[in-house]
Amino acid sequence: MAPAGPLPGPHAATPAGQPRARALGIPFGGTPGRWNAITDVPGVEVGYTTLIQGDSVRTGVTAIHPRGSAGAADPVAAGFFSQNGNGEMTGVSWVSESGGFSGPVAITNTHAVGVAHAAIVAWTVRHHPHLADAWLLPVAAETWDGYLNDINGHHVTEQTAIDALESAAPGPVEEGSVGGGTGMNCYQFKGGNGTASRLVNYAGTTYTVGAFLQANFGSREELTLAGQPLGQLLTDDNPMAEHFAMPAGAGSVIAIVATDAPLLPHQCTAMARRVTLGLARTGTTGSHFSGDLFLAFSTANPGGITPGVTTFRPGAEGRYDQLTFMPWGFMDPFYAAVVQAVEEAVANALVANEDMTGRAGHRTPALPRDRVAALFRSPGPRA
Amino acid sequence: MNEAPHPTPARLPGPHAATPAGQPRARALGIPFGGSPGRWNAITDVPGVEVGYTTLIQGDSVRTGVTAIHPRGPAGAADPLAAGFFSQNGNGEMTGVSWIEESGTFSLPIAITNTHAVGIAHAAIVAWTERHHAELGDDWSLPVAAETWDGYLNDAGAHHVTEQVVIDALESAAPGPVEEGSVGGGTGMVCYEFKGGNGTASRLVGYAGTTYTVGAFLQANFGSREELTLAGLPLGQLLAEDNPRARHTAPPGAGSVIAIVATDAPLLPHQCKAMARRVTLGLARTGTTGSHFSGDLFLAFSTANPGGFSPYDPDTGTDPGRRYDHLTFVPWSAMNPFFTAVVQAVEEAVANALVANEDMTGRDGHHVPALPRERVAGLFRAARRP
Repeated sequence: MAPAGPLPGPHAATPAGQPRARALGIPFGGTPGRWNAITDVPGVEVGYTTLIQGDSVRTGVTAIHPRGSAGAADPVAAGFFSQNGNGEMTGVSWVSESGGFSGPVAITNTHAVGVAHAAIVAWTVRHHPHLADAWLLPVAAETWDGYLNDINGHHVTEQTAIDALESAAPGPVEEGSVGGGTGMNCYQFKGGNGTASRLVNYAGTTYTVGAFLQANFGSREELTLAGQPLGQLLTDDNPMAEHFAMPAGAGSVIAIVATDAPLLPHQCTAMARRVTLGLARTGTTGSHFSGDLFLAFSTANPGGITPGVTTFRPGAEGRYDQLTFMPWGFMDPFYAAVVQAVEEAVANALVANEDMTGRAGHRTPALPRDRVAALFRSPGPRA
Repeated sequence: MNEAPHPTPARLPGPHAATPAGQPRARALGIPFGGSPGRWNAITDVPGVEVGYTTLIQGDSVRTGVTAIHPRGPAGAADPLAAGFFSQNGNGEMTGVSWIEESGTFSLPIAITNTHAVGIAHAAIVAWTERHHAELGDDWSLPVAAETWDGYLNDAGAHHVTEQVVIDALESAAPGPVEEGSVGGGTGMVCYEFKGGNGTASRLVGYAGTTYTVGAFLQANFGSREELTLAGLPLGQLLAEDNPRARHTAPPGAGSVIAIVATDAPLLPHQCKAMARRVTLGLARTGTTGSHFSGDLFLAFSTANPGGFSPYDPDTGTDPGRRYDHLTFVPWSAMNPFFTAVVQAVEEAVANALVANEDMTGRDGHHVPALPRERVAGLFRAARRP
């Protein structure tokens, strides 16, 4: 299924001009949103701080504001799923308890996730001080960039993360080796940030489902895109496999799924479980060494959930909360959207990259775009 | 007049009657408890467990700190333990639990502090591990850092807890008797709207000719005054006055409790999880009904089976002939006495957290009275008479 007609600009390239997967002729199902990004969900804002310094600093922070930085006080319905728990996402006890969370999400490297947590607290004290009168349970997540990055060098500080939180904006989203994805590796190619979106129609309204990944998972031979066994065709130039003491597939993937469709918390959890199917389309078999943690939220029902801190105020008693939500019988197109968006986000994380060399001379090649494009121009027989 | 059925304070072993700093413990007030405590009646009765504190009491508004718990002592930090996690009410944070749910294990020391410093504590454990366990090399750390909220007495928005504060607690840990009340992470905590904080207790359990120990450690910051019940006495209804905390905006019962349960009994991860679920029953004996505003998060682990889990990174220093892991564990049918021990130790740990305290005033003149020990002792003396 080759794309018909020219690609819209934002579907073909990132803001910095890096190619996106559709530009290589990789076919995907479904209908993407305007930027084919998580920011197609109205209100969602993304910000980055990227640290590339000297020979050994290859890391950063990604910030995602579900309701924009101004909407940090208003909880979103949400659900969490751990496909494989070898990783950290804070704040999930609260998500599992209450079916929601509020405030921004920060994604970084494994040893900076505590610093990112503290930074969200500090950002909230600065920008929403009344929220910090109560206690904050922010969501900070991570994947491991220790192959390319000096992960123990404390390069990510609270200010690094605050800069990402404060620079967040709507619009098209950069991909590849930026923000928290800077030093990440995917299928033993250069990995990092990838995003995509799908439109879903229901009852005369067009909703959006967006996925954002910090992709750091998978072993080379598994890689499959649009049914093509790329990992078996592109086996050469795999320094991670030759020199790296950790098992292939180690590393993790954090997935954030957003939608403006009105959902119950249980439905958000169901959306989070669908991330697994999207990743599986790209070949991974889910390494024990990979922290695959997924968070899904709905930006619908603004003001529908009373924030905890509001219940402390006089006059709060006697109110009821309200949630409008999709009937369960109509969830399937939203599930399909998650799967399609996640699959494409993985492809985008790979395609946007260039080779990177980092600490101790460790190197990861980028997916060889020209060879992949050629394979999709004349695809081989599918096994 | 009948003889008292329980030991009077004069006959208690020293460590059961008072903390190392000389604060009274619950048994010193004549409060009766079931079961047999260990030597120090503390989580450190489980061999190898070490506890350390940094306490920050400064000026009018800093009332906080950090508690460090090393399950296998600082030297044993790289050896995974069987473990289980339970969230009785998820309005709180305990990091590292995705890994515990996944693998049934964890390693590295635990840090417990205030809600807004839990990220700092996480970073500090990572830094401590890099400093003290270089043999772990490139392995990634998924440490357990937990919290309760001390914002009523403490200036919680500021960065009084730094990584060095946490590292100091990690590096000062030691075996032996454990201080209670307003120290370490418990410094600014409030329990049943009395001064709360750290409490600990242990119980001995005999099985198959071996005496095992179950120890509980709490950072207690939960409960509303009228609920408080100790050894069946409705103290909260008898001691209803002097409750400035009730006039504060945060709901009564808000705050959280972190429970760490340790044992040297050999257990499967599933059995550790079952032990973690029993914390709830121990807390319930003291009256709480489990506020939505309370982050009640519990971790239980077994120090048995040393070396039983292969190191996480299969390529570092592993015996090449080692192909399987093995766990010895208590049969499920013999678990009940261990469950009872958790319940009894947790109940007593709550009482200890209350009894060890003095009044505290903190930020903005906020004040919390301590449990009035003399009145409580009087109530228990009266209860022993027919």
